[in-house]
Amino acid sequence: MTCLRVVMIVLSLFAMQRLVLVQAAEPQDPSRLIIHDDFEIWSWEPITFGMRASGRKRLQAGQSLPFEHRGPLYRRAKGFALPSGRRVAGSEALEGHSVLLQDCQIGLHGRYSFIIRPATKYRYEVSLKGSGTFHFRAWVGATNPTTGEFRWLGFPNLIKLPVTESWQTERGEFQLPEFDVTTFKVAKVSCAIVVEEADRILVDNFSIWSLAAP
Amino acid sequence: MRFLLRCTLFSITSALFLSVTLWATPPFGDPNQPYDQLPGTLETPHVPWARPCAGGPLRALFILPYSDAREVVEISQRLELDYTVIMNAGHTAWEEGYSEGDTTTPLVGVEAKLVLESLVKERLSLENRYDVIVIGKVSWAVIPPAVRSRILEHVARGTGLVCVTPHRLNAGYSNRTVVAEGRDALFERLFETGEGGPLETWIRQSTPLDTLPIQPIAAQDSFEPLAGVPPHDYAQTTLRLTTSQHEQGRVVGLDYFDAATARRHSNSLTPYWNHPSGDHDAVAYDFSFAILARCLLWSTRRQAAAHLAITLSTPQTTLTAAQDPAVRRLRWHAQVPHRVVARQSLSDARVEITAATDRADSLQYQLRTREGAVVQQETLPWAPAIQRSLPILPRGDYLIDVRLLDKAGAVLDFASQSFRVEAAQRVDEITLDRPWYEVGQNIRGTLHCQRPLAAGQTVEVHAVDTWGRTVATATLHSVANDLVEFSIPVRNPLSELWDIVGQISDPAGAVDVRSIPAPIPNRSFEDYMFMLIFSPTPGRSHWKGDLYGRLMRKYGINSTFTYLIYSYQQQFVQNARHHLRSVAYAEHHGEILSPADDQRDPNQEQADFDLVEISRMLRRVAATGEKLDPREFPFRMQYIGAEFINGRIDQYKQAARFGSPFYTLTGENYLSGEFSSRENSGFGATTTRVFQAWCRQQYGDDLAKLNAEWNTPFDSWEQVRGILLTEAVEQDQLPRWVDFRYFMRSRVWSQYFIDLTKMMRRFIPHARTGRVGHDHHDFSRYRHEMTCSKLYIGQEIHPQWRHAMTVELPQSFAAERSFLMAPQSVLRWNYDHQSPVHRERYPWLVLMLGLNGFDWENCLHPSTLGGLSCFTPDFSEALPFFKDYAREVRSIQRGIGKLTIAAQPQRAQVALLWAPYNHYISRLLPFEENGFSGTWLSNISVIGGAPADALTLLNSIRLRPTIIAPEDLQAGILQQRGFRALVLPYNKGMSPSEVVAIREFVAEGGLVIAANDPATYTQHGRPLEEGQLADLFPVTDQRHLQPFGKGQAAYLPNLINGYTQRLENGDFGGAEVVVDLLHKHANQQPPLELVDAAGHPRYDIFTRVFQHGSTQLIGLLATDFGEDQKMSPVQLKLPAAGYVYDVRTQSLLGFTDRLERNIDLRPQFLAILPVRVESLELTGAVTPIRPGTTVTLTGRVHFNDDAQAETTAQAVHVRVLDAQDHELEWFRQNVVFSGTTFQLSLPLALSLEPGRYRVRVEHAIAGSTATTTLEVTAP
Repeated sequence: MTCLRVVMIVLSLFAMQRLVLVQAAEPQDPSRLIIHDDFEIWSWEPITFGMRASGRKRLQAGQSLPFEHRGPLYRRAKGFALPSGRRVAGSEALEGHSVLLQDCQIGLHGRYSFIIRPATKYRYEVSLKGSGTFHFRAWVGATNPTTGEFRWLGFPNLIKLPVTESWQTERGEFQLPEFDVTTFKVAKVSCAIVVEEADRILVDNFSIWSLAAP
Repeated sequence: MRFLLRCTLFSITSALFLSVTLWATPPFGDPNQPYDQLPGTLETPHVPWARPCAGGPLRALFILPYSDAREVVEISQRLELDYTVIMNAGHTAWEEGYSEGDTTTPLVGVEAKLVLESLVKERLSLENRYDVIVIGKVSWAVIPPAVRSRILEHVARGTGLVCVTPHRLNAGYSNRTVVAEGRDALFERLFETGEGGPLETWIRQSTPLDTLPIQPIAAQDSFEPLAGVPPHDYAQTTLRLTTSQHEQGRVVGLDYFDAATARRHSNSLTPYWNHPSGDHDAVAYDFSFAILARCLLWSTRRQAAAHLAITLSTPQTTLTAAQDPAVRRLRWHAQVPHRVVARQSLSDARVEITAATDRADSLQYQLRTREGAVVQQETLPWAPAIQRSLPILPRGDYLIDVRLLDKAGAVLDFASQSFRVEAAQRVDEITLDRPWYEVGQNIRGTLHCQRPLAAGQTVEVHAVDTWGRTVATATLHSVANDLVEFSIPVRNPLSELWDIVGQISDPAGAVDVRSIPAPIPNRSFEDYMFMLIFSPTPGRSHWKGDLYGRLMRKYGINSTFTYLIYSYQQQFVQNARHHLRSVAYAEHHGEILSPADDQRDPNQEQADFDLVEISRMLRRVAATGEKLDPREFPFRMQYIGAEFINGRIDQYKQAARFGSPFYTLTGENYLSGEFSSRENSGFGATTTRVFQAWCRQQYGDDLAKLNAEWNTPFDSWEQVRGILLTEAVEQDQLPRWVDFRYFMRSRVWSQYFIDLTKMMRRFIPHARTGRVGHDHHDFSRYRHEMTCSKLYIGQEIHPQWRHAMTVELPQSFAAERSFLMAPQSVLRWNYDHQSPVHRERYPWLVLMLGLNGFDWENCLHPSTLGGLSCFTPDFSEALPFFKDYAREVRSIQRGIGKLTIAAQPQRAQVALLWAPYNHYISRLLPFEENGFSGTWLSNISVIGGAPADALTLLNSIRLRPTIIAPEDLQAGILQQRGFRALVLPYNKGMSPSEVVAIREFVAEGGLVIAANDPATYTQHGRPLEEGQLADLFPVTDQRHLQPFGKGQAAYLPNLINGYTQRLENGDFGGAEVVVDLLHKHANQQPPLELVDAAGHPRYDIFTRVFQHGSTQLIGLLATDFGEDQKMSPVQLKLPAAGYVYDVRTQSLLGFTDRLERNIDLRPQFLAILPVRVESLELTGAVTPIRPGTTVTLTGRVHFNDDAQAETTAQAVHVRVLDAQDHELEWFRQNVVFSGTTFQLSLPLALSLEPGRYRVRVEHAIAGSTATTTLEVTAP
């Protein structure tokens, strides 16, 4: 046990050193990594009540579930709060594990919420394979500070990429479009990877960096 | 795309709900929103120290928390004020107070901000002129800077400023300790510098501080808390006064050093203190306002110049008051008057009152006990020095209060002086032979005198009940020197406590009086209960609890939740004195004992939980009645261990002194991980051993059989143990997990509470136990223990259908022994509150469900901006919504509630099989059509799912089933109790013995109705290739009826499932199918039929039928399909003609077996009697009766045919009134009886005033009344 504790301390110091190095590098590189999903670590989590109802309807409609389950548990990628697609491994995966998405959106609750801000530039990188179109879509909500009223301002696609049958790594930048915020002020921006009904897309190494404000 | 659209809509809806929380329900200005309502019409006992006030009323603006706004009315009762109030959220919250959920009742968010801003703008406008502004303990750091500036603008031009307990705690409604950073020079200058000066002198000279729990100090840094005395346990208060000047205005800092604690007792203008017995010291509270009044007067330059003084001249004495060192340790000072007068010298004592004024016209003089009982009161013409003598008084502390009045009767000044009367002789102690007494027993006791009785001294002992009635005089058995033995028979008590009062007298009067309480537990709980819960309550909440306890009884509140869990034994006494029944909150046990317990890793076995080991300890105590030896039982689970259990034994023994309908043993405690469906306990050593033994029994000692079922490779029974869900999934051993979790719920969790009940019963005879909370129990095991509960039902639409399972499980398994309550709360503006008709329905719904009443949860949090109450914040007026509830409750409490509770519910010969291991099998099948339960709380609640749907269906066709368990099947209950049909709504898992019993039942002629693939799994959760009942249910993809032996087996896919939801939408599809099956194959027909104008059955009307003798009680409650629901005609078809009464209007509807009614959302409650009530008569002794006599009256009901009335159950409501129509409330009762006559026993107190009294009885069904008169003479 003592030996293990020493190893942990050494590893922690190493990690802290890395952190210091990253922080020290920041003045040179203003970008900041805010998302990096490599879909390597998955765990079994309870199927929630909401998932049961929607899953039952999908099954009754003859559709498959967009996640893997055994008994009352489903498999979920680390960092996500709700289903995150199906884990794939072996030759179909980019390396280790990748995620297969079909007729679903992932990350809206928790994972990709409150990470994108107005008037800020972002850089992304993602590896894709399959058929259809990859969307990284934003749900932009706003409130009227005088009345407390809430409304959606829009659901823009921040990233939209056609996908091919072989793995391709795509890079680019995006920024939230401008909205009329005279009365309603942007209160929350939630995002999700969206794959539509007829599409089948494998995703890996999805990363987003926040860049300096323009 | 449809999936995506659904997700988007869900997100939108969620966001809209979020936005709703920005507004209170009801909103500001609504009559049901108490914020900013302050009628000030409720008067409480007080001394009008400066009211009316010479010079006219002070124009005062108060800034204090909403929940303490009553204190403004309190000060205005004592000081003439023209007041304006700004209510903020709390001492450390401006507008952002506590709130809960999207229908929270306080003002929140934007509304809170806007409303408070608007009120502040208007009321602090410089156009208003105030004499004084008072800040009631609101942190200076929390008041917005602009508001502080505006306050000081008022002060600068001459307005006084009084800040009670000035402090700078940071904002945050739960912050009690964190002070704002840095120094605030302005704050220090205003409130922390400057001496008390003339104001302090005035207060010290005219306030009897020696008798009050107040410790004045001269400087802030001389404050020291009492060492070793937690303030929440026993607190006095410190007082430090500062005075300063801000330009033209005077400023007072009245610091009680209670910023961290004052919220506990709603003290914003008065100091916080706490007495261990929970007593509310009304006299000290009154003096607190006298101190505040002087601060206000001084700050407005209206302080008296009269120099009113009371001088007491007495002969010297060496006598001193005895002090209890245990109590003295808790106090800064003894709280005994400094001036001691020997009783024998009282006639030599002189009181002189002087004042330097020529404006005085008269003096009001009052002598009272320290407890507030007035001994002398007179108004005297003013003379420069008035002298009074003192009467002969018993030992004790006394107060002299004087008010100097001008010609107009306005108060020029006021003052008080304390003194103590001491005597060499006194009652040292009274002891009783038992901790509590049953009716019929003798109270035997001993009175110890300080010294042998002198010539002329006598002893008297009598019993006084909590209504203040002298109910018995003791027989003195022996008088020997300083010891007197006595006995008092306990007869006809009308309260749960008698004070045994011992008095030593001499020819001049009482020398000393002392008392001791003698509890007479009333363990009968037959009336409809309306209970306070988590609300201000006597003995707990200082002035608010005392006021609330008295106030709420008027609205039908008759009981209160009582904290045995915190060993507050005194609360039982307080409740008895306030005439509230105690309902004991005894324990809060489970594996989740603190918030940290919920944070444990669901993927790690939590072996330190070992409930079975605690159960072992409880069983030892239950068997022996002895305390545990911690060396023999060293295990502890957090605080629960041998020492804890031993402590609880002492508490239970004390709690046995009072009745409680049941003892709550658990609440929202769970097995570890259970709430989030990630169970991780059950791996303790004792639990594992017992699990192994249980598995051996389950598998007939056949390990191979277990391995085959579980997919395990165990070589020995010692290897058998539980498994985490994740591991069961990964290792494909889900049946092992099903067995384990069922064992944990049924044989560990439920067994624990069975064991705890048996242990408790060693000390509290016949204690009934139960829970407050969800349904994560194996109710089939609760036949004799854990039969009671506060159920989590209601507070949303359709509870009669949706929540029926929660009610039916304990009612089916423990009908005779259950005491069940519904919940109600003002935390949220829930469905039941939302309209007058909802409020009208709820109390009747509770009765129709067969419950014993409901509770009332409000005034929960001290820091809110409005809401959370059923009164205006000064308690002057009940809010309209609460009046609606109270009206119905009081109506039910006039006999019909007790009669219904005493009646038996009518049930069909239909059983519904509930096998709890199916819960865990259902969890393996998350996407099945319908589950064993069915809400987001499905792991801990039985609401929703197939059994609940089946129950809804059967209830809607008025064939109420009885729920049975697998062990009942095996015991042959179907045959023994004559069931004709068995419903299997969700019985996928089934044991071979269940299969055999079901097959036999059908073969012998029974009808079985099933859905959801019965017997397709083993009871351990292993799926079978062919169902065990495939011969009964050969077709499962469509509706099918299969003959089997003499009976029938019906399979009904898509019919039971979802019925509750369909019914709520007005779709009763499938009901007729079940009606036909039960009619044709089981000969089951409802006790009454309800049809619409076209003759179609009305399945939307929730119907309950109760039978008591030949009396039938019928409750009808229409389903709410919308606010615009119109009256609709309905015909009731009864099996036989009878006299039908509308109980709510107490009117006879006719003799019929066909009744046409119009029904809307209002509840209907009918009674059907075989006879017609013609009149009511009351006979008995009306001749002059002496106090102390028990009057027996005979009531007689005249029917149209008395011979047919022998088994007719009825109830009468009894009240006794004096000549001025004031009710003698202690006689109020409901009498349930059968036949034509009933007896009424009225024990008249020895202290009853002579006069004429009327006894009035009212027939609960027919409304007939009868009255007789009692002529009471002098003793």
